[in-house]
Amino acid sequence: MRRYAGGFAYVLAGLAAGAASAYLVIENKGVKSAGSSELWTSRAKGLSGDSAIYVRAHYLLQGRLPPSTGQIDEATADTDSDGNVLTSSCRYTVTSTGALPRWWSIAVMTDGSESSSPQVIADTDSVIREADGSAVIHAAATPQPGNWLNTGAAGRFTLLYSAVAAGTQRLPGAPPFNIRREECP
Amino acid sequence: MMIRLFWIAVALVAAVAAHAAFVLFVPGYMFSAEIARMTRAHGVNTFFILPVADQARLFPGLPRNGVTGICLFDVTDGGVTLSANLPEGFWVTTIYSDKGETLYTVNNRQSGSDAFNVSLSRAPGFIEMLVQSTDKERPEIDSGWTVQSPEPQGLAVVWYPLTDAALREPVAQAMSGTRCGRTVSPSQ
Repeated sequence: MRRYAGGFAYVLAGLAAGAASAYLVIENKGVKSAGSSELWTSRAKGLSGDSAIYVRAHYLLQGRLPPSTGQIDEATADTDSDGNVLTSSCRYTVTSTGALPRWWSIAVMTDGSESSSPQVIADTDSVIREADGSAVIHAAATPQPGNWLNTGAAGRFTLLYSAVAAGTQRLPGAPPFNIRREECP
Repeated sequence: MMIRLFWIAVALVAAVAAHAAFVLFVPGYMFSAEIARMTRAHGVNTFFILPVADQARLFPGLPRNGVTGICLFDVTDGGVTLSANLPEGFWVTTIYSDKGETLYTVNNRQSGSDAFNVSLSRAPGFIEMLVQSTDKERPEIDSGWTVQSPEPQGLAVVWYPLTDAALREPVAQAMSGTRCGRTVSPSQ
């Protein structure tokens, strides 16, 4: 009886290790730096590679559809350009650093349910450009002059960049935005 | 000693099986709950405009004032045709399997037209492929694109971003001209 109990413990440990390793691989497989910068990371490119099954699983576990392969690109940032974790207690300036694609958006993502408020997304159509054509967006928990992204009061957040290619053109590797921390209590 | 080695081997096999089962079935099962909820509300093989809250949950990176139309298709009992009739402008149409795999995608520039048909059918299995190649049978292809789905169910998603939230209602109205339903063969 004791022998079987010991064997059962081995099987249970094996099942738990298998499920835990699957979860860890789903969360980490296919995540790469978007371009040369460490600021933005992307798993969307993994949708067409060897790790596609894990990358798709990541999106489905979140209850959402993956971005349309070859059509919409995505990248996320958890830190500012200096490597500090993004938190709603600070104020940030997100500035475009190069040519922008045909359509793009930057959304605030928190761990809670997705907000249906339009202030959590800035995109091609809603952002007012500077005189030189660049885009400057203020991310903060309180209303800001100019383009404002509401980071809410949830604490840590992630910025999600989405972009759509023009016709048959390919998208550039890295999102053309940097994130600067302006004020932190 | 041998008994311990045996149980370690059993534990390794259990770990591999659990890993594979988790990756293959758990995400699909979790997402199928979302599909089932939408199916209860709208039915299958019909085109509907997604409410803003559902749109925010399914596509958190897309602006809330865009319009997203969906057809939950089921090709178990035969083909389904998506007859898109979209307002002029920028849009992206994507066909997903219910496992989240992109089967087909097109935008307005690639399409060249705002009105088009996509014929959806079940991809033949290995035996069916052998029989078809022997009998020289081929699926009927109508005017438009033909997509064969490896899964019996999936989603056709039409996304139309807007410059102004006030345009949501008229654009949603215009997109409602899109139809999704069983393919009617010429003999019927």
